[in-house]
Amino acid sequence: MPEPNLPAEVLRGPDGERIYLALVSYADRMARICGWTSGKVLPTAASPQSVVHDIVVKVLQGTRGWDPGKEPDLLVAMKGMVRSDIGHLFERVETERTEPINKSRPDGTERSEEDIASGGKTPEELLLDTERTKLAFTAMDLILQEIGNNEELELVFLALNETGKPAEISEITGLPVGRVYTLKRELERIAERITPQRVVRVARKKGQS
Amino acid sequence: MTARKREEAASFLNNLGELLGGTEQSKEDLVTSLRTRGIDTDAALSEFRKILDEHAPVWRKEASIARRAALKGLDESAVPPSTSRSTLIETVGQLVSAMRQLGAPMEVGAYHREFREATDEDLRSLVADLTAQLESLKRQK
Repeated sequence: MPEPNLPAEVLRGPDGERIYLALVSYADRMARICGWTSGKVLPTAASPQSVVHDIVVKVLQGTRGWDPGKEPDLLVAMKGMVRSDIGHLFERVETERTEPINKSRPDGTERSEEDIASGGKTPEELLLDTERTKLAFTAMDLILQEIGNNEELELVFLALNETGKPAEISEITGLPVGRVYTLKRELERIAERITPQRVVRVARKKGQS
Repeated sequence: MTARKREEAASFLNNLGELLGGTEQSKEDLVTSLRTRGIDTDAALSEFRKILDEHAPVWRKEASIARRAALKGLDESAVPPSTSRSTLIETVGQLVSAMRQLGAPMEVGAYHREFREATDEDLRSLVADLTAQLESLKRQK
């Protein structure tokens, strides 16, 4: 008897279409967020939907595995794959940084490669990490600006330092979970207004001031 | 820029992605949210169904092979080759209903979805298979 194709059973089941749409939604959001930290959009050959398409095909074919013993929820497992693939796509499109690393110390001596590198990363990788983090904090500042004086939204924003799950946000903030979902929609509208280009522009201005 | 700050930023943005992407409770909420972002959900779902038709039916072929192997011990003459396709389909429906009445968790809809593409030989072997399963259920009751 052939082994049952568990992902096929789940995806052909009553929840299949919801799972697929949830993956497309998640891929779309992660593409926006990765765009903030890279200053880029996905290359035209790729789209959130094409990423999800590839993952679903590979999971059905068995070339990407799902171990229900490790992660019983197929959607959670596939979101991890989406997050990984989109992250890799953005890493590939990031242009090489051509700024020279400043190897000179204030006293005029030169730093060695070992001095510059930490955690096994090359100087270029460290620079990219720093750039990504600056852009990430700029995006977060922009979100806070858009939130303004909305105290409930601010509570949700702060809770995001701990979790992204609405039920857990509700516990942390004391807001009813239905209210969290409503505020989530407001955060979605804010996220749509923050383009990668805007993040880069603001980060540059901050860097110059 | 410390590693801690990098981790803080990464953790925040992952959580934001988790909250904004796909925590909707229902398919209808997801459709609304995706359409607001300009994503054609009808096209997306159509694409999904194509993926399933192309890549999930492997089970149907394998199940058909497994059924044929299992039926070596069964009397396939119970289903004459001259039985018409429509009779075979009707018989499957009757067998599935009978099995459900005996408590078997049968997805009637799943069988009917596959009829469009099943061969007559598949249908005959399915009838023989279901007949054997029904007899087995009756013996257990």
